[in-house]
Amino acid sequence: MEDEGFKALIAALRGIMPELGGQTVSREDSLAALGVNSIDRAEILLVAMDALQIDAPISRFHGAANIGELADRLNAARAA
Amino acid sequence: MVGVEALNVYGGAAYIDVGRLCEQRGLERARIENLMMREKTMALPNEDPISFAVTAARPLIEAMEPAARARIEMVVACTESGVDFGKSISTYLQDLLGLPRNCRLFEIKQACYSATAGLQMAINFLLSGTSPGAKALVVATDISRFALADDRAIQEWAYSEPTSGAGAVAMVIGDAPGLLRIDPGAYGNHGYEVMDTCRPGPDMEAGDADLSLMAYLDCCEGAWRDYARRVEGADIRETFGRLCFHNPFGGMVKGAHRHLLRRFARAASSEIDADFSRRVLPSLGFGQRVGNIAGGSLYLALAGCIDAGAEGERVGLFSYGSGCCSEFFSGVVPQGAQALLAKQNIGAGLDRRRALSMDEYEALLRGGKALRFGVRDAVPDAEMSALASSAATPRLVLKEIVGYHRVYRWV
Repeated sequence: MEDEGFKALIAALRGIMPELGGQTVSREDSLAALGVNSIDRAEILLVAMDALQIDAPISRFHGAANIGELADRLNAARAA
Repeated sequence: MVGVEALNVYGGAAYIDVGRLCEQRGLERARIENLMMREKTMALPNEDPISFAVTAARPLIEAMEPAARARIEMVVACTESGVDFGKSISTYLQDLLGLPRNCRLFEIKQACYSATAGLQMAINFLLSGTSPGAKALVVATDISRFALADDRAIQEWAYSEPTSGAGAVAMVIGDAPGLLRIDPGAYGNHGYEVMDTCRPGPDMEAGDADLSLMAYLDCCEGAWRDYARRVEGADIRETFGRLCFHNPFGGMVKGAHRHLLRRFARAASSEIDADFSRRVLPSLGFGQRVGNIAGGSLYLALAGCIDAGAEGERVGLFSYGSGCCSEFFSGVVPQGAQALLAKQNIGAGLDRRRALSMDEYEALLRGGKALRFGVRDAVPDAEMSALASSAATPRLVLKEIVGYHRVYRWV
């Protein structure tokens, strides 16, 4: 099964931080640890939500420990 | 027709360079750039929310004709830096500014939303027509003094240290608005319970920065939707020539603006950047020099917007207070507003502040010379208070506290 949430987040991340280059980003990574500031972390989430057509308050996705957990929550929101 | 007749800002007598502070704290470049802050004002031991408020308001009161001054029937102090759980700051304003006694005096609290709550209270008092020709004085006043309590408090506060400032914005609200003519009934609200940031004790601030940013963004969207529900044909791109946002730091404003334009105007990135430069950036000038002054931040942005030139434009304003409550409202800047505001020389006032060295800043922050909340009798530390600029006059300062009563003098 395609992890659409993860794909959307990675696409948004690479768009906002092209300097990541070819670095592999996995589900266990956290945006903060990758050096993404607070505004850009929110931006990545909003861009991903937009791409996935999720119409929900962004605060619903607060508190995810890493990209994988965030992706899971996005996937759940899509399914709802 | 009601709105803001006059506005003044008091941005303190001393400041620290934010870039230098960030370096000192070892903050990453990415975070520093995100802040879009240059300087932040520091309150000195002989300064408090009352001294800031009165200093901001006095030129406005003195410029009024006696007959107009006599029509001030409401004084609203809007703050999250209160000095007493019962007695409002407004009582001191009434006395120190020589205002009439047939006056409603009270204080409003809801984090950074407080000033907008105060403004709407004043506006709707006037719109009600229960006292035709009445005026109101609304003053947003806040200082940050959070590193005093203990190491835990310092740690809690560390995130907002680079941006938390001090300042007061005073506004006279009346039926001859020369600065901002409010659009009556054009507003939207969005508020709910969320524990994003709070001030659980005097001299303490705590919270979750990520949650606060998210709540700000959600409220921005929610308040706009409510405004658009009330105002037929409202369009985030077309209706407003300028936009002003509550400004904890410039990066947050940029993010909120981007969110609104992408969600409601389906605008592309390049369009969003150009729009931000044209409609929002002019409002950030004063805020970048004073720091986050809580409720007053939005009105500091309004001042920046008018100062940069906005005559004839409809301004959309977004206010957000943690905890939370928010409002999107609007008004039109009349012809002559820029020259009228320029009489207050807000920028020159900021230029007169003294630049603190890092040692002086640290001494102020941790030296324990600030008067603690609830002190019964005290005299402010003279040495630390002398760190002020000698050119920042006239300003009100705290002379002493006697039996909990605060006594001031002008310097």
